[in-house]
Amino acid sequence: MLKKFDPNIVAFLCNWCSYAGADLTGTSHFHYPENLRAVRVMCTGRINPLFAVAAFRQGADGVLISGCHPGECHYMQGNYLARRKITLFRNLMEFVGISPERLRMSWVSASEGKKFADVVKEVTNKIKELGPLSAFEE
Amino acid sequence: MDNQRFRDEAKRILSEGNVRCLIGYSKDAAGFRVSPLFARTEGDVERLLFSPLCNISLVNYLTLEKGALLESGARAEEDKIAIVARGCDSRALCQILAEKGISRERLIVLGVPCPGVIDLSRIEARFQGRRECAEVTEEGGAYLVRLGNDSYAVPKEELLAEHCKRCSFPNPLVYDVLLGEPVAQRKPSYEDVLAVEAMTLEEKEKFWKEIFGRCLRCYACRNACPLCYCDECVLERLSPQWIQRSVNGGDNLSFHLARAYHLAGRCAGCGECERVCPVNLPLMLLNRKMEKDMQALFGHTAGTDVEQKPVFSTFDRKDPEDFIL
Amino acid sequence: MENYGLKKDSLKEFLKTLQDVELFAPVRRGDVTAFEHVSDPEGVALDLEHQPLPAKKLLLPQTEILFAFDKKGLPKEPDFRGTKKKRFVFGVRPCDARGFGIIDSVYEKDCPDPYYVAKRSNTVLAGLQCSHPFPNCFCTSLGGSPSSSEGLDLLFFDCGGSYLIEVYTEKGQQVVKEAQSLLSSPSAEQITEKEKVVREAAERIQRSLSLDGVLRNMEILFEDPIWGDMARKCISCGICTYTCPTCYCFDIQDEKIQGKAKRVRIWDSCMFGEYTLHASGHNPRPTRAERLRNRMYHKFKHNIDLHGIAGCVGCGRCITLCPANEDLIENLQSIESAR
Repeated sequence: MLKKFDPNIVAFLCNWCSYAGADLTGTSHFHYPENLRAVRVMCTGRINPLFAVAAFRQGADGVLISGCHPGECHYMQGNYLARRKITLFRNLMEFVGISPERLRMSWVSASEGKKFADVVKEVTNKIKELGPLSAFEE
Repeated sequence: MDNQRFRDEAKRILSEGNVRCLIGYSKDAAGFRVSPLFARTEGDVERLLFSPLCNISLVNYLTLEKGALLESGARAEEDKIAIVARGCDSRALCQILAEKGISRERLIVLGVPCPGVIDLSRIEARFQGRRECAEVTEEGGAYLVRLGNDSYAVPKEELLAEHCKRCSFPNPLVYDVLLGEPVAQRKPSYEDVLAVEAMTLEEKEKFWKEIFGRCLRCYACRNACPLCYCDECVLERLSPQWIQRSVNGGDNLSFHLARAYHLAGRCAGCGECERVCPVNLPLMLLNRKMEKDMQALFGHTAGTDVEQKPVFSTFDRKDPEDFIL
Repeated sequence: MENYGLKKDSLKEFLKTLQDVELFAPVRRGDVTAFEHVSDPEGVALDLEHQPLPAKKLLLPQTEILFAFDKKGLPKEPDFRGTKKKRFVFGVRPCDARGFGIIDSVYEKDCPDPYYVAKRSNTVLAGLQCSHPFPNCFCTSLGGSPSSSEGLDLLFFDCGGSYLIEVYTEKGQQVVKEAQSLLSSPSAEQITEKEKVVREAAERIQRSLSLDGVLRNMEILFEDPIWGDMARKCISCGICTYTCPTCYCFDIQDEKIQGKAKRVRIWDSCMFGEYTLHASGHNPRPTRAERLRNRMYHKFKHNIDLHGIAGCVGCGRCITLCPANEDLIENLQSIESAR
């Protein structure tokens, strides 16, 4: 019997908006798939796409980066810088044969508990569709 | 280019007293190879030359060894370094200057408008076994190759380096002296990148798997790259460790993704990474893909403006975000 | 020594008769020829135009698992998975075979390395005589030759339409026994052709040097500025060391993926900046000058003092592949003429 694919998804959440939002998701009892491991960063602007590479190499099938909405970044511009970097990195991933849908990004504010749950559900379903990531295997 | 005028300029520059050395090329004793020459004396200057065989990027030596030459912020009255720079070299210099990696005041740049250089493996294959000291000049659309008493005319296309065929920055942008007339400039084109983009995702994965499977992790690409000059390179850091040292598909993929990303918007297109690779990895495909996307997405081209801010430390409110939930 | 004739057309047949062995041979990978595991002898590419990367990695893998462990603890035994199978390496050049001898002097003597020793004893080396040495070959200056049998179990000589195979060891004889039906006694023509091929190969070596003055001068040149001049164009990469048939330095790393870890031994290079970097931050070989000097001393002085033989087989790959065109022969000549 084929074992159902249970993806590993690593999420990098900015402290001020998305991490707080994810926390609200929990306290509000909005359920989302348990495939997600959350990593708190102070701002998405400090995220180096190498974080995603390291996550993929360590067995993640998908990576989610979530931050403040444009104009609401606690550090003014971090999320705009992240947006640029991730746009480019997704193109690079696609170029080497890795589906760019494995690196997702969202804007989730501290009050958007429901949205976070929806984002995680959507991302998890998409990764389930894509299947396990094999490009980073030995 | 007029090699005599070049040497006269070099002598003049070195005689100015505060110039530590002039980095140029000299011809190796045998065959088709050239070497970087760190000229200090008149005797050294006599060995300087520029010819279609000059295929090494000299800019790399400005930043190769920590503390060796030119940290930024150095006092202007200290020693200067003169350097010969082709179009791509000047573009690399321009990018390093824009990043404040080098002090402009300490540089004297001898710019060389470059019609392209020869692929060493092609000319060595064409004249297999010949060890006489070769002299090569470009005349019309051909290279005149002199080996001992023999002379050969070879069509330029046969020997010209692949990445020179695609060069869109042959004329130096940063220079103090310009040696030679500007050459015709062509618009950037990316057929090689488009060919890979046209593959399906599975085809791409297979394509790159075979390529990265050959990688020896020798670091020649990184060491030869004029834009790779971080004191602590993320590719070899152990605390924290981003890339494992093991040589296998997954770790090699991580290595090359990391390097391509770190060069995105910074790569000057000199092609050294491909030239030096002992297993002929088509690394410029990654860098040119990044170059194409940088222009298309953010209107950014590396190494064209010393005042340009690094592409990832700026943003535009209208940057694409249709992929963001 | 036994010798046999084998029709060239029958080479793939011959390789197919090998029972219970993993076959390794030169194959084309893109523009490069390297020794790889070959499951079907059709894939063998005896490329005479491109010097293959050395077969060293077959006995000294670039990444070798010493042992694996996880949260449950350490294993009771090291991981010898890579050493069990019998191997047959076909198409090794004489210089590379001599290179194994130099690696043996380190990995088999005072402190025998169990991974290397096991693989070595399970491996049969079948050489291919260099009928056309490459432009930077200088094996004859270092005690070798394009036809040297040193370190080989068998040696194939290309005699036009056929190979003449010389067998030197019991291991080699065992292999040949299985292919008896394809082999014949060599004819007089084959033997004459073989002698001609050996003669011509030696004449085709273009480069040479003498090491006498080098060893003498190295006694006094350690602090000389010659090394700075020599190393100024070096870019400190690992190409020369990784493509050298006699380089054997390694690093050990612990690496983990998802709770499972391995201790791996990986190739290291004395040319890398971090090679002698101490935990304190001090580096006794901080610049390329000291590192290049070290490499020259290791190969052309220390190895001779310790093992009686230079740590170089004259394959010339470092000269051919160096991105900065460092020429080992010229460098040795400048050491020789320095005093």
